Amino acid sequence: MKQAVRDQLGPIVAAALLATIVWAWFWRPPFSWTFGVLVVIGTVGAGIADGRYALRRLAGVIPVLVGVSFVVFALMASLPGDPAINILGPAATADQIAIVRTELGLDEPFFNRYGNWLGGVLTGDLGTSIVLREDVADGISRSMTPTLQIMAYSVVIALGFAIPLGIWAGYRQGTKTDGTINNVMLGFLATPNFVLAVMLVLFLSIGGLSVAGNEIGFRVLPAARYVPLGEDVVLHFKHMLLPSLALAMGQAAVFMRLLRSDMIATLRLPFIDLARSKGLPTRRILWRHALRPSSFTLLTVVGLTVGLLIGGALIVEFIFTIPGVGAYIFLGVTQRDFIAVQGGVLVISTLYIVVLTMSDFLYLALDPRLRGREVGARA
Amino acid sequence: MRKRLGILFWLAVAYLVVLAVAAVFADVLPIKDPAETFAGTSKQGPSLTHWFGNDGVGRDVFSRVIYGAQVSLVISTVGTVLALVIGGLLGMVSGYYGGRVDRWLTAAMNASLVIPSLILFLALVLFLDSEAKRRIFILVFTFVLLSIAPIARVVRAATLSWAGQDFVLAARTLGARDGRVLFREILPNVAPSFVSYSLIIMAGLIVVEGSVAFLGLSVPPPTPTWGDMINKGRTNLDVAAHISLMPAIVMFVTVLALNFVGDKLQQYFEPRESVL
Amino acid sequence: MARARSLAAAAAFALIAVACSAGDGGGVSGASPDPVGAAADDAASDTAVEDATTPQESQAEVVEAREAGEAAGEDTREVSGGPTHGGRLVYGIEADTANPFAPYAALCAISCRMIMRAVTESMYVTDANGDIVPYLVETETASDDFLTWTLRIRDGITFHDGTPLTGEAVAYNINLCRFSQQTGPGYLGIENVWGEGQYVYYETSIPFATGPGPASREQGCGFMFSPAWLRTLPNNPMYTSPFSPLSSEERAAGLADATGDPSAPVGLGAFKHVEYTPGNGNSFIAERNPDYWRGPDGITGENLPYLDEIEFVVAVDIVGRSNGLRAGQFDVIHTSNADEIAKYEGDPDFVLLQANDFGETNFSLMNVASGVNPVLAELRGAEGPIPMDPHGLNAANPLVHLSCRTALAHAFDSERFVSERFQGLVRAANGPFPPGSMGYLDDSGYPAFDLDAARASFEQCKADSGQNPVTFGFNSTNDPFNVESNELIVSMWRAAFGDEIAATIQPIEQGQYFGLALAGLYEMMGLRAHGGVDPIEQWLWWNSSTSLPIDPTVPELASNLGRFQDPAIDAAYDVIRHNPDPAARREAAEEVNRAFGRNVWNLWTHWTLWGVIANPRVQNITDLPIPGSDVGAFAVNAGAHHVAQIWCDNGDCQG
Repeated sequence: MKQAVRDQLGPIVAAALLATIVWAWFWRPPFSWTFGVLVVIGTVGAGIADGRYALRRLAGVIPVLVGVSFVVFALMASLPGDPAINILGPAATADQIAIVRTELGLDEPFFNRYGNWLGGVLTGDLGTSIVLREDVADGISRSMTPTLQIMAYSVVIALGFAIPLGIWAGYRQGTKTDGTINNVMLGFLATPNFVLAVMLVLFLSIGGLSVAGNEIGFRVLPAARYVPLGEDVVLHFKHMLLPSLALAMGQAAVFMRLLRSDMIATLRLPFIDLARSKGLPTRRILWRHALRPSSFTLLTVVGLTVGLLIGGALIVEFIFTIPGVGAYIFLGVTQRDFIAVQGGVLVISTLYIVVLTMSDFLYLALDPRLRGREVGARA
Repeated sequence: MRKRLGILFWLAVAYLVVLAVAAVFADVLPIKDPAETFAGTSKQGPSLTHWFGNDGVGRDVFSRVIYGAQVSLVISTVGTVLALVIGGLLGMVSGYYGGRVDRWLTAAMNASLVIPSLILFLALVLFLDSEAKRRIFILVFTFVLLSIAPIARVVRAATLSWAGQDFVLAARTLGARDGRVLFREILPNVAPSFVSYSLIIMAGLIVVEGSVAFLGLSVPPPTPTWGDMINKGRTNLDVAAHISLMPAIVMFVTVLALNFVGDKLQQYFEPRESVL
Repeated sequence: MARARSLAAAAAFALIAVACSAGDGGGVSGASPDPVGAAADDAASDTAVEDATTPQESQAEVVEAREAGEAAGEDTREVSGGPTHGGRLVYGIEADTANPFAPYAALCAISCRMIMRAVTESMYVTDANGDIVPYLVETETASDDFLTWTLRIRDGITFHDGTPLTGEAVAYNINLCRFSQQTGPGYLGIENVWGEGQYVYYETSIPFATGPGPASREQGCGFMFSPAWLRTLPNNPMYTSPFSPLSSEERAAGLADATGDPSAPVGLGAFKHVEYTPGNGNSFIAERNPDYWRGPDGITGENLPYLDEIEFVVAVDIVGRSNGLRAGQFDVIHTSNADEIAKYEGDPDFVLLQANDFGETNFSLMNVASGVNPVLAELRGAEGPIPMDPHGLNAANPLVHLSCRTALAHAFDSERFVSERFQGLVRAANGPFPPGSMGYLDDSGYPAFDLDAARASFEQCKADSGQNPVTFGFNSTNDPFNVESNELIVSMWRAAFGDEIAATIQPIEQGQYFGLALAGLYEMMGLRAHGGVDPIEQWLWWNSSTSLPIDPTVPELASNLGRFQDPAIDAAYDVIRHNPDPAARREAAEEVNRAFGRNVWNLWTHWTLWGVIANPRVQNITDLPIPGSDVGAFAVNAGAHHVAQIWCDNGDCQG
């Protein structure tokens, strides 16, 4: 039985992922639940595929998480002078100072404070925000959904552009087609996402520029706000399209260039020649035979770009007035809401580590050839 | 097969050189004072006296773009050079010694990637005020932290492939010290790959600096920066698009040129198609 | 004693935040372009079409009114058909509220006040003439010596939780504000407030010339909330403030039961709180209150409100807010960004209401702390003199010298500033009181733009300060528009004095901005403040007794941010606060204005212009009648207006 599962692990995990997506689509659970289920699938899958590796990887994650929490906490604790006044600014009232002092437990020694704080964090207590007087954990978990959605959609869009273009450009390497695709994508790589976002809004949301009385542009897509998936599916995607697109195009360029060069390398391998000699159609060779072996680096990099995407998401959230976690942290910074920022940085870093680990686990579960091999281009 | 760099490559190089020279010698060039507000010119489009037009308070956009290049180029160059030195060294050591050293360094590198750069930057801003020098310091610090790991990864891979070559083994058997082997034998061979890669990193840093400036958190005034200029012109996109557009175009072309030159150099130096 | 003092001083924080973005309108003229209401609506009757002003005409009117400094932002569109019930209005507001929403704790700026106006109402309102008139209060009477005031509260009004608005309820609201550390200083001189039946009684130790009106109108502590809700709040000053009259046992008992949510307000307004989610892009949602006292079942026989639901969405980025309006995500937005207002001027697709009447003044504040403060020494009964700058933190600031301040004022070309930076939308300011308000003077004696005079003063300034270049830091908020405006100001000084002046602009994050001003840790800073209907509202900011020393070791937060002491202003305020004679008070307010002109305590730039911009389906944005009065409520109050009277075409705001 167990052997049977191991043999068919790839299809089983793929089916589980598909089922999760269907479930998320029709039942619309909070994004964090979907995310949790994906984590479970990845971990179990990797555990079955190569238990020792999965364990080692998980064991490696824990010290990193502890390290991150320590750095975040130490940053706060290393403020010179009275942290409470530093946090609140020179106009702190006695009341506010007292609240922050209690919040931070400032009268205790450093490691006790760190322990207490970590204990709170483990039980989901990130404190109360200084400005909005709201539970930080609530605020972050609420803000997380739009951010994760933007990131997920932009990865999908980026891959949607990158995979066909990468295959095509790799196949027609050195031709004019290849050159054109390369140059256009290089252009997207050089367009900062905030410039792209501003341009997209200008030309697709608010009617564009008026030249000699003629409007050059459209008013077809929303320019602001977020609509939850559970509220209205069509509206949700209308609202998410421009932010995701603004974030996606730069990534599409990176992905496409990677896939192209791996594709070129794969197409030189003998088994492709063999397939050609069997008279298989080109499309079939490219998509069925060449794509899978060429996409290993690409998938690794997709996991790695999550960090970049969070930074980008911050900017598009700001431009499109989306209540995401990037905007949450940014406003926390401008209002010196220290507790909110601390919580946000901790959660995002943790999430990032989990995503990186999961992306490795999923390849391992999906691709049997990787088993027993050291996974991860990061190694 | 002899590779050619092509006319576009040289055009891009020429553009970057001109931009760098203009930025470095901005003070002695016959361009306008970037802080001077010319009466009656606010939001005026490009003209013969003001090539890129005037901004919302009548300052010369062209001269501000040139001075803005100082910030973008200085911060990204310093960031890249520091990252090259640190990341290059770590990568070489990691690839050359392998084993436990390699594992630890790789783990540390991975850990440094864990806190997303822009978020880290924001967290740091919270601790320090907006005094210009401190802002530049945080910017460079974040950029270096951001770029060390990717550079180290590329250098490590290149070092690995060279460390197994006959001439390196020969040098080692002849009793050369590790330092000598690393710097005399391996470095010259690894250098091309990481110099070309560093140009791409530099392009990335210019974009990150732009993002930070766009959020209003980069170097404070009077120093102009491209991202800040784009942000300030945003309200006037439909009436005076040039205020945002000019710095955006220059930023675009600069990043494009850096990427292009980096790409071409990589292809030129490497026998195979490059893989990140 | 020292503790109480510093607490009282600390309290100024909230007041500042409020006042700095507070402002009020009043006044008479004003119009808005009406491109749609009449001209585009086929259903309009013939006469309506004939009467209707064309867009060009009303445009000319509004420009004229604005240039006279008096645009109240009235919605004067011709209306086709009557009001329609129904619809959901989405309003883009500029900021979230810190410490929401209890009035004694919230930092209630413009966005917060829009929400307050939806969920509750105030004891007094400002009417279209700029007079503060009773609203929830039916009548007010004062004793002959103005030491006691008696208010009668309207009968038959209930809060959203069904409890009645009684004299006790009003007194409870006021006492929370009196005992709060944040809002308490505004009640100095008021000894006792209590309620009985529908009556509220005030006892004061000084003649209370203006009565409770100015402190109880449509901002901050004027708004009434259900005592049943207030009693459940953990931040209730009765339980937490050192000024609370309750015993410690009573406080502990109160706190133990305090499990209420301050961000879920229970008021008595036209709309009831439904849901509030903090954060940019999130919103405050309120639904129609069927038991509104001006509703179909109310006491006035009116039929308000017209909307079913109103949603206030926080959109801090003005470009995002404006784009959202253009793309249809918002139905109404407000802004004080002149670039954005200018874009909507003459745009037939949107309705633009402009208001600067009784609004705020924009200025550069200067820290003049030096020497000693004899008024404060006398007030505190101190042995010796009280030095204003005991640690010498402001010693290197050249702006303590009148010659330097005068030189800067002379070198600032205000006409160029308003015409180029603000497209002539705003008017250059010459004093703290905008045109139309008490105390305004055409010529206040404030130094006019004059380069020769500027250079002469500057020579004196160099001698007085011993500096060359004359060096100071200029704090600016982080907002790109403000930073750029301040850069323009600095460039004018450089044009006049060249390299002999070194003013460095320092953008400061919003969270620290007011704090630095209160603590006195700045040299110069840009500010928007001092909006108000009556000059008495400014007393806290300008008198010598709130001009406290800069001392980070004993944080003394001064509401007199510039830390000046001006005997002429102190004397004038004795009249403004205690003399009921309107003519004498007006004369005194003008004297305040002249004192600012003589001593250049602030560098005036312009009077703030607010724009309320809506899609044309939104009707009757400003015209709320006041029951029992022929005069309606004032239109746009520093960006805030009433919402109960708004309706949308066919009961649908989005179309």
